Amino acid sequence: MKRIINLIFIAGVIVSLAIAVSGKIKGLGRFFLAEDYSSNGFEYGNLYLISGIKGFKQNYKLMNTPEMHTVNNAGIITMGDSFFNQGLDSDIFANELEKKIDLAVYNIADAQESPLQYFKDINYKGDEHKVLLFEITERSTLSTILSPKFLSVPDENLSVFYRYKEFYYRIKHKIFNNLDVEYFFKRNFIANPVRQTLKNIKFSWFGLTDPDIGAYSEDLPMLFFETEVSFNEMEKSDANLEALTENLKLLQNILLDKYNIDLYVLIIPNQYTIYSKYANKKIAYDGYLAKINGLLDKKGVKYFDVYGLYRDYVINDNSRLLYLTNDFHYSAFGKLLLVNSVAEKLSVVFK
Amino acid sequence: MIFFPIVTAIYFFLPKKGKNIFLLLASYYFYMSWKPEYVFLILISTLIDYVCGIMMGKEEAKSGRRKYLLISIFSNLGLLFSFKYLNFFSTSLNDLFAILNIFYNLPAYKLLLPVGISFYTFQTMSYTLDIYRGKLKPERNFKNFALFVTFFPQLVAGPIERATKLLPQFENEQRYDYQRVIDGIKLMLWGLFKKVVIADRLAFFVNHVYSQPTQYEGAPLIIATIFFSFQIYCDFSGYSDIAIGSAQVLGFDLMDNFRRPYHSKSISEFWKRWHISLSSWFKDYLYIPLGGNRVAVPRWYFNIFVVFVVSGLWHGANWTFVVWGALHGFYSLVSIMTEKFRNRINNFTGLSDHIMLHKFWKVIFTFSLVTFSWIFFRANSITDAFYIVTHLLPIDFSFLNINSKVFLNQPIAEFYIAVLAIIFMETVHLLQRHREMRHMFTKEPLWVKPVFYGALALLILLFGQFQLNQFIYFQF
Repeated sequence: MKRIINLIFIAGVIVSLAIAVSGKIKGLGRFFLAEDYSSNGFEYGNLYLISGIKGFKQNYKLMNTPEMHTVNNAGIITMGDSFFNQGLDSDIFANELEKKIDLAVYNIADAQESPLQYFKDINYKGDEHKVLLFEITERSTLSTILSPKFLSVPDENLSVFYRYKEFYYRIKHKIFNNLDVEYFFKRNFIANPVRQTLKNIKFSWFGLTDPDIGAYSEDLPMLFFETEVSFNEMEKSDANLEALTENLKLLQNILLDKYNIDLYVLIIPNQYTIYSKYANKKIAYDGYLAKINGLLDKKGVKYFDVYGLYRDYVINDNSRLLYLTNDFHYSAFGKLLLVNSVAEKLSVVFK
Repeated sequence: MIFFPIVTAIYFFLPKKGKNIFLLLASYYFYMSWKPEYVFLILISTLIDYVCGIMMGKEEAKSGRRKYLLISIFSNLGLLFSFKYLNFFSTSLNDLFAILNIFYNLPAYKLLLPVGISFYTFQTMSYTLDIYRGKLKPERNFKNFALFVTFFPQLVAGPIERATKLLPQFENEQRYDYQRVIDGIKLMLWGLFKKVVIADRLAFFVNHVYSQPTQYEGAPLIIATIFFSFQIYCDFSGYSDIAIGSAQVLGFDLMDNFRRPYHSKSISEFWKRWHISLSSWFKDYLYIPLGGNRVAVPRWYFNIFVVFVVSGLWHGANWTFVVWGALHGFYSLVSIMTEKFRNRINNFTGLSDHIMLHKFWKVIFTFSLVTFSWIFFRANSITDAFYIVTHLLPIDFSFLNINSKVFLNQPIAEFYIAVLAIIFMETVHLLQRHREMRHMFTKEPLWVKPVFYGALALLILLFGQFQLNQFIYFQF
């Protein structure tokens, strides 16, 4: 027994060292990642990867059309979070939009916390009139748009001090941040199958999912992200809604005055907002997006009513899914439905 | 999970000379993984106490040592005050000014609280206090002293060790000892079970109710509060077990921090079993210097009350913690004042003749008092705490729907698992009455031990919550 325990101890030490090295040196680590996490031209759904429940695994082809334009030669600029950068089973939003409209569309892939920061950083002149489609997910609206960084643009990005600070943060992150080691620890080809087996036992025996899965539906079937469920559950004050829409109005005015850019806002509803009636945990929707749209109308902020578009589709048709079953992003169909609606309205603007 | 085996292996392979310096570097790395800049605070504290210790060692008379003791205490408490209490005091004073119609606003300082600052400042203060009292000779080896301050298993949440016990252990070479390693791992496993299976599971229910208490009244508030009692115990004692176990694997003995506190039969017994390293610190360095119980009765009562209020303040810079401490002070005083009266009642009712029943009643009553006090500890504000206290009744269980799939916003299965895990833990605690966790099953057949610990590991893997849930006591 003593010999076995000693051997286990030695094996544990060797495995720990291997994990630490592979986690820190990504080039080495990726050879030992489980199949679900290795990039082979496919993705399997971010909520599936969190939950590990095998019944929810699906393959999505990862589309990677290269960027053909620049911010200066494009007529339309798109900027947003992961929805605008997602290319599963379809091209990214900007490329799909370009197919429908006779204009160059450029996507700002390296999302900033504020459009103003981006245009300042690239020293944008604003010689030509352009349209900016600014996309944000419903669950991120309050945290992003009410963040002090959303409208303030510090000069420090260009200063020497800032560069030293950046360098210091990079070094600090490399040496002391061990999230990469933890990531590799959980997702390597040995640990991941064990983790998945345990998660599947928990789900099939007790109906339990990872805490990051806020709800699920077996009829549809669909997984829902915890952040979305808790966002829909959270009370939102009128003052916050007022401040949020006021910030968007300010952004619209600054972009037009300073850069000759016409802002259009797209708030993508949470997957849970659209499909909560199918979830095992049902929370009545508080009409958050409808309230925001009302305020945007009142303040004269231009926007595309994505919530109305999706809600009407689910009420009137609902033959196809607007969101992926195992990922909080829209499906290729949901994306194209939105692209068509945006293209239709923009073609009137550009006439 | 990764850091510890690597450090342990390298530690045992190194020659005696390199062992402590390696452990010191590993401890600094461990601390810097949270926020590297704050390592300077530990370094400052270490340097000041090291120098003050040496200087005190050169003074024969107590009066000569006093100035160095004051430097040590002021600098340690100064650091603690600046980072932990400054904002609390300035906002409290501002509130007071507003009440008194004084138009003056002290600025608010929102400094990030350094992890474990309350623990390591108290540990280093005990070192200089012991030298001042002549109970300890100053440590001349800076490396060993720095290791005493930063020893990673207990750096961020205790146990708050005494220099008299820990420092001599750094003099000796620790070698790989199979039995110590096994015992340490067993304790770590038990601590991990308490943390990831019980505490982190209960946290979902507790956080949900305590983040919006006004949405509830009656039974949900009571259930969430009882759950918090177990959450904080499992979280903190779980950390202590992991700390003591990992130190044991490396060859060091740390003091016990918990002895099944919820089996206490009185509040005073509870404080002998809960966070023992802190309670004994307050007893040795505050209660006794104040005069302890060798003073007039009113002064004795005052001493008890002050110690509990300070203990509350130690836990956090918020009035909720002060009230929590004061409540325990109040319990203790009432318990002392009514002792004779209670004995008379017990004799009159015949309860004292039924020893088991009497013990059971005392345990339940003490647990209820402690649980009630946790309301103030956990609530986000005094207002929330008073809402909860005033809405505990009536207890209406109609919200418990047997067919419901969700309970307090969590799948019902999570509730059952949490309750079963608590029952399992309390059963083990009962079995543990006469033996420590790491020495359990020494008399049973050989197969019992691996089966028990194998099952424990499986339960951890299956039901553990492995999100990044920090230990509650890291924030103190």
